[in-house]
Amino acid sequence: MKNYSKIVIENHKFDFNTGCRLLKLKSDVCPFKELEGIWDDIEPLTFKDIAQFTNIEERRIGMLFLGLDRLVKQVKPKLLDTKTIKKETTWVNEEGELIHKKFNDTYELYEVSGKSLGLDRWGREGSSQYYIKCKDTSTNREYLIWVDLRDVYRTNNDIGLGWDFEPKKVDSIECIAWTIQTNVPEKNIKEIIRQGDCILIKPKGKYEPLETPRHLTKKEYLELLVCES
Amino acid sequence: MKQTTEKTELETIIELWNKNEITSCTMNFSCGGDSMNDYNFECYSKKSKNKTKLLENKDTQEIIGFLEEEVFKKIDFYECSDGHYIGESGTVEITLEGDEFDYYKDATSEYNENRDETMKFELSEEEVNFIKDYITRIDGEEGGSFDVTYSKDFIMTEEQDTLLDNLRERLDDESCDYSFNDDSGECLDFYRWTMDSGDLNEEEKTIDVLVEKTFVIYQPSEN
Repeated sequence: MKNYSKIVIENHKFDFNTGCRLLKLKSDVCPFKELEGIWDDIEPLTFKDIAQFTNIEERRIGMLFLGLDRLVKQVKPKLLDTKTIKKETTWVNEEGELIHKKFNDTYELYEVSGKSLGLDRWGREGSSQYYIKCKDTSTNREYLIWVDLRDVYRTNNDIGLGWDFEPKKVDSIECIAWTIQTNVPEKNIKEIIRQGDCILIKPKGKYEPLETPRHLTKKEYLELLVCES
Repeated sequence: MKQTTEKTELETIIELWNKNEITSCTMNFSCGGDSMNDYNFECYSKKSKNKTKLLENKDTQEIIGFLEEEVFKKIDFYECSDGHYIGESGTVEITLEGDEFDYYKDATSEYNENRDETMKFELSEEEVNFIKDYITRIDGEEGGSFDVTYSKDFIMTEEQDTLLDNLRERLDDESCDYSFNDDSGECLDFYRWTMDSGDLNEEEKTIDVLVEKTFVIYQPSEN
């Protein structure tokens, strides 16, 4: 075999071994003649491997090829909480008409054991990680968003360092609210409008923008979200 | 009944000006970046050749205090910069003409001008084939950072990896050294270049490279 040094995949240069494993992850069909001799011996990358990539572009490509279904199968998540919110909003249809839409928006909070991820937090092996699963209501695409559960608890309980935190004290709506950040202080938000992951916040009254953005609370998410698509 | 006439501030200043036999005052200034930078005043007198002593003089201080306020009412200073206009610097000459002061600005404005020109870049046979088969575009800039857009996924050999490194380095060196046909003004160090595979000439074994540089132009300021 020639002296192969790199593989270019999705416009990014990977080292040869990682590139091979990434290609195997993408498809069982060998894409290059040069790899036919070794193709069957190549082990595809796992979520554990991809999570270790320090380069964000490599992680993105890895996750793109892995896909959500395989990710979930590999990390074996445990469902901690599920909540459904009945929502009403106005949409513009294809004819350009304003229509009233009622729908159910379901959020699921999952726990993934650190052991299955091969990750550690604060130097401790095997600490759990958490993600929220939700759907984009206009495209029906599913999203998994990693959340810092202890910080979700602190955001909604206004308690110092969250010394009495326990995962069961946090619900999925608190988590989805936490994924939104703003520099508008609490009590200065009049309305929230959501267009997928693009959030518009209408402030009220005079206020000083926060130097450090804060996370939204469950209360704000439930009471102030007036429209979404 | 004795009538007294109150002197205006201007009259007071003129009196002090004449008392100290001041011939002129010069304001040295520079501005830009949306603000007035530091400025100072110098005064010249027939009576005193020592400029420092003259400045320390209480009367001169009072004159300068007055002129410092007036000059901003009489003269336009162009502080606000944008991507093109940088600022201006120079002097305002202040003289006494009869019973009022005359202000004359003599300054130079600085502009940034971005220019680009096409440079013909020579290639080897191997480089021509590599670009044709695998490259859409390469962008680079001063400091050595670059971005390659590949035209497809492929397995890169060590030789190709080296070829690409050398090609990029040569592109960077030649772009840095490239002399513009329009080289009026002062050329800054910063440069950018773009090589697009669409500009490849296989027959001549050359490729057009777009080189961008910034030039500083100096022009007399508007009064």
